[in-house]
Amino acid sequence: MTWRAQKTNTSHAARGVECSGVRSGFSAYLDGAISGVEMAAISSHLKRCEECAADFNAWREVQRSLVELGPAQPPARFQARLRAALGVERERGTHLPFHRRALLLWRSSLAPLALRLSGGLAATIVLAGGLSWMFGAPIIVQANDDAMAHLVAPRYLYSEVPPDPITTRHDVPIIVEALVDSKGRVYDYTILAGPDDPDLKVRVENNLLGSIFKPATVFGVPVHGHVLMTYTGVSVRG
Amino acid sequence: MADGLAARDASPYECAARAQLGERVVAALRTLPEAFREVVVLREIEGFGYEEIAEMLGVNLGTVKSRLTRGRASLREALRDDASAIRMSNSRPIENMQAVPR
Repeated sequence: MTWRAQKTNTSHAARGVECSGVRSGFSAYLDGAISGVEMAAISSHLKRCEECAADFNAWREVQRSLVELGPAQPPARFQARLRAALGVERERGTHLPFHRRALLLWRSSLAPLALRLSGGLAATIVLAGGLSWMFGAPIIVQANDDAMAHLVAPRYLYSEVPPDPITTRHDVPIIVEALVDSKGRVYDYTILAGPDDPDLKVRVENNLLGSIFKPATVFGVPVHGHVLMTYTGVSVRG
Repeated sequence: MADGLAARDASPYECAARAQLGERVVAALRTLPEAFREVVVLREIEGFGYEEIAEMLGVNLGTVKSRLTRGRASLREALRDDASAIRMSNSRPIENMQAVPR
């Protein structure tokens, strides 16, 4: 560069500074991207300075050769392929937000099967549940379920007085239904079977009056109850 | 289009020279760093404005301007180095090459 060699001369040195400023603006000057004043300054400098004019010419040659290259030609059928690709993306819903895309995917793939799938699932749950109940947890059948109500009949304990043997002239069993109160005492009785004998009735009555029962209970609470008593092996008076 | 115009008003020699220059320019463009090359191509060949280029590349306007300046300077250097290399091997064609763009 000759302008560098001229730096010894002061006027030329000042001009060198101006030249470097002008040259740094060449790019913008080529595009017209600077103000009119700056463009005028560069233009007038180029008229005065041959070096810069030559340099600017080189820049313009580069620009011209680039322009002559022209824009790259798109490949054959580029537009058709671009449209096809855009169509495919639109079909896939790439332009939609995520939730809309998920909805689209659901509608196109799983929604037609949803009813069948849910029906099948429900049937499977019912079947599997029934089978697991049958095999996994068999029902234990209990025969003593009545104990749940906890009804206990009155039970004979002992006699308060020395038992007086009942004697009768007939060798038949005597069946008595006695009603027992909650304290274990007999408060009424009925002779269901046996000889109709007033003396026997007195004896049975005395026997029952001296008898102490364990009263009937419901859930452990004493209640009134009734008991069937059978007198057998009655001594028969000769 | 450019080929058609070139064929109409340029001699076969000029056409060949122009094609050769084109190849040289493409080769010189390839030596540029990617950041400079894309700005130079978008501005000089595709003809986009500074603002459009800045928006396309996602950089600010000042970056576009500086990249364009440096890209053009490097391209000029690359073409000049290329020309001097050819001149050293064979003097005649390069004189013609230089004559062609003017």
